[in-house]
Amino acid sequence: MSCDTCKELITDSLAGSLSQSASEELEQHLVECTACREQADEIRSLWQNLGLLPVGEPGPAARARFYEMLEAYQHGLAQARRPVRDRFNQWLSSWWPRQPVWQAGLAAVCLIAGLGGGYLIQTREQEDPKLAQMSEEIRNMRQLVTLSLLQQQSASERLKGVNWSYRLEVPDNEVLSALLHTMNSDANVGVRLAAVDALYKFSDSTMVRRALRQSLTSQNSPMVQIGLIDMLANFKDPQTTVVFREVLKNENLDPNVRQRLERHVPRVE
Amino acid sequence: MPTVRTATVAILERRGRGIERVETAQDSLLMSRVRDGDVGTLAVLFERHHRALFQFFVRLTANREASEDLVQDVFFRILKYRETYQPASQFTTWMYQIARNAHLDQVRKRKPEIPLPEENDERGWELPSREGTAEQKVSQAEEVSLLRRALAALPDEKREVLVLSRFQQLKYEEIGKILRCDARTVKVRVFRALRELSRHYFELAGEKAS
Repeated sequence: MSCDTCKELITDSLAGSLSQSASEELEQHLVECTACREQADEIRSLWQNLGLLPVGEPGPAARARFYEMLEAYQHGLAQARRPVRDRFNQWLSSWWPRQPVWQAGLAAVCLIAGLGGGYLIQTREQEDPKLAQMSEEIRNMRQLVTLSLLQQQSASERLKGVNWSYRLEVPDNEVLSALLHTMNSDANVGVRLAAVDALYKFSDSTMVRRALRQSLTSQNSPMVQIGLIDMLANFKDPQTTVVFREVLKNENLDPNVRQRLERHVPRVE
Repeated sequence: MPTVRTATVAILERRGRGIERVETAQDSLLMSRVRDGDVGTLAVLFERHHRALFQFFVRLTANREASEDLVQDVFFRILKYRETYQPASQFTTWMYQIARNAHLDQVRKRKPEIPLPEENDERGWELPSREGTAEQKVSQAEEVSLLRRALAALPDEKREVLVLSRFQQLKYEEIGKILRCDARTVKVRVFRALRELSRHYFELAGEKAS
């Protein structure tokens, strides 16, 4: 083996891509050739020690910066596309039939096509594991974005985080807890209020409803309390009335909150 | 209540368990979707690659802030030039080509002073933990310092090929595609870069001793 070939093999051995036989040949040459042996030792030791160099991590703002940029870019694209969409709308309206009977028929056909398409896509997802894996990854990514934004310093970032939660069909328990935590303890009233609204989407869960009721008793902002009261009143369940009565007992209650509560609580005769 | 932070960690761990090695075929598929107009999908590629990209830039430039800017720049350029992406080629190859260009543009814009390695900026940097006595720990710190300075002393192209091969988990063939040369040339460059690194290292070590 020539010393030039030896150098190439040494470099291959660094990457761990040397076959067994080539590796043996290399070591044989290194035994016989001191110059190459010295070079090999020096290079291998340096390669090893480079692993000592500390690893940097990107700062917390990196993610937020990227998502802001992406959103702005998408917004820009949407604006740029608008003229085409307007033209398309015009063309579409020329197809919409005048008679109600035909309108209903067309609507029914669209509905069936939509349901069928959705079913097909779903079964395709189940059949194609790669597609399913990617969808899973996108779901995970949205959860991650929501959580990451919720812990930012700036209130407007946290507000974005609350808004991101709307994109989640089925949130993780971690995201739900984070939203509840934000509703109860965020320093900014606007963010707390936004969290209350966002939780409405998930209010079928008894856990969420219980947390909403509990939050009412511990909130100190009248605005957020009123937001909670309006939402809880929609549910019309008996536990809500119990909590409302409890809160009414507080003498220091803000008059606006009191008024809102009394609207929903039947007077005790 | 540290709920939000621990929750984020939990999701990251689940991702690590489920999707270990980046499927290069999937990256290509994802980028094709971005190219075809589903711009939001870029977020998945960001989550997969932004950390490695950041570390690549830091090792090249020894400057955290510039590196963060460069990462954003790269993803912006990916968006801007998304229609030029060829699905037949690997996404990471294309990404690193863009990264190199972004870095070169930045170097040209800046004044031609070479930034010194940030010796005192250990913010967020973790030393791989090693057992050892106090003396061993001190000498490890010295070693790291010497290595860093020796790396910074290399010319840009040599440092770049070294970082790509040693740290970015790229095979010589892929590095060849990024640098537009064949794998054999890459190996020669890596070998020469290591020899020069060694020379600088011993010079600096000698200075220290005298």
